[in-house]
Amino acid sequence: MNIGLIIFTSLIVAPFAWGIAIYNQLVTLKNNAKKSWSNIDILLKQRNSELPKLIDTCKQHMDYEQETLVRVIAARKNAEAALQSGDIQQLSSAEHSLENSLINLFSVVEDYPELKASDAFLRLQTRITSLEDSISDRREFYNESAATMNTRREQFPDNIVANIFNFEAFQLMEFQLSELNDVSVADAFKS
Amino acid sequence: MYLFSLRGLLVAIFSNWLYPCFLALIVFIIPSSERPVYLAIFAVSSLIASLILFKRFRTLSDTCRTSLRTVAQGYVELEGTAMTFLGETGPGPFYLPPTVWFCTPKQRSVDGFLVTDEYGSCTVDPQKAEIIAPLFNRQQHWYRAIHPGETVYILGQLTTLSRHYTDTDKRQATLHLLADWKKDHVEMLHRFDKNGNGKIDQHELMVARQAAEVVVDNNHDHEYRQSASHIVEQTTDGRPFIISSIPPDKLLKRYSFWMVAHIVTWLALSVLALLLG
Repeated sequence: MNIGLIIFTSLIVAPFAWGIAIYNQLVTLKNNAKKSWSNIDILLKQRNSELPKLIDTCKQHMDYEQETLVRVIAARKNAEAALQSGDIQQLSSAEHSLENSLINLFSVVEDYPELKASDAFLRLQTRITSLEDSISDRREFYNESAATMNTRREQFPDNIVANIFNFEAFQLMEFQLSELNDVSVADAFKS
Repeated sequence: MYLFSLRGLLVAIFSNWLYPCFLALIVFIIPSSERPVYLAIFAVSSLIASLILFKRFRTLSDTCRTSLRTVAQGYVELEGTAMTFLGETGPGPFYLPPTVWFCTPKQRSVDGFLVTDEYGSCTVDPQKAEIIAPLFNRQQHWYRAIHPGETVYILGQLTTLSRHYTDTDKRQATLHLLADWKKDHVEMLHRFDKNGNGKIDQHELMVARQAAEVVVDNNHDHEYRQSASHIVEQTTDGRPFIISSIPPDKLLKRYSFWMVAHIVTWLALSVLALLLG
């Protein structure tokens, strides 16, 4: 048996074999990031479908807060449009505006004790808060998946394979500065 | 380690000291004239070993961890405490302490168990899983086991069974609940007749409908958090399904060490084979 041939073949085959392993891993990471995005997408749709009910409930009691309600409606519309466009940066900003408008809405609820005590409002509050928490958790999971993919495509030797096969970076859902200051919808309810 | 698949078997062999000992023994006992050929073959097998371990290392390091609060669907890493189902004592022969999973030379448990964290619990189906658990000895019987209360790390396909919840399902459930409420007219008036005219008018009916929708949603949320709703099992795309009672950091260290060792072995044996050949 020709030993030189065995060694030479293994030297030739090795880079290809490693290249294939890296390529397959990058494909897996890309699919993981896409899957984790679809995890958020489903919750955002659920939350967006709950908001009109909240607005309807608030409308019945809040006679002097039309501007606040209009802001929530507009922010929801923007968030819905951003979700459909698939632009993560636009969605991050739209979600941030929506969260702020909800915080405003819940802070003025204090002036309407009847609304605050209503069963329908309390249940919608619980439902939306729970959805917001889940969205926030899954956003972290998505960011982790996307960051893993982005790191790999920049690291050597993965970057060679990633450049040859045009693996694109995933955008992260950025956290706004104000979100880092423990401002949440749940807190707004409690105030 | 309990080895279910060929891949699991290869990973176990290549990340174990027995493999280099076996190589050394073979090289030692074969005649020196045949040694270069064997060295070349072992060099190639080390290259294959490094590739297998690289894949395993990347799978472990690149899979994101979820909790039972997030319950991200798909191929995930999950950490939690192993438990038997409520009221069950766990499988195993008489000489074993309580276990959630065990494997003896004659028998292997296939019963499902629970993994819990601070947010909820999830059913684990250990069939076809590659289980990494320490070897124990008790009353002269060797076995591998995962005990209740032990922390386990799972890599697998997480699915929530009751996830499919269409608008039609929700509408029907809401109408059903509203119909139930209407049966008790006094209670209905008490809850929703806000203007006190003794009737449920259109506006009050809408409020009642919204309340019913929220109850339906909450019931769905409650079901969603039940253990039977989440299950971790084998993937359909061939990725490994691993249940380990050894922390992933330790496994990563083990696999990266052996991956590098096999690359070095591949190069060293190749050079040696060429020099001797």
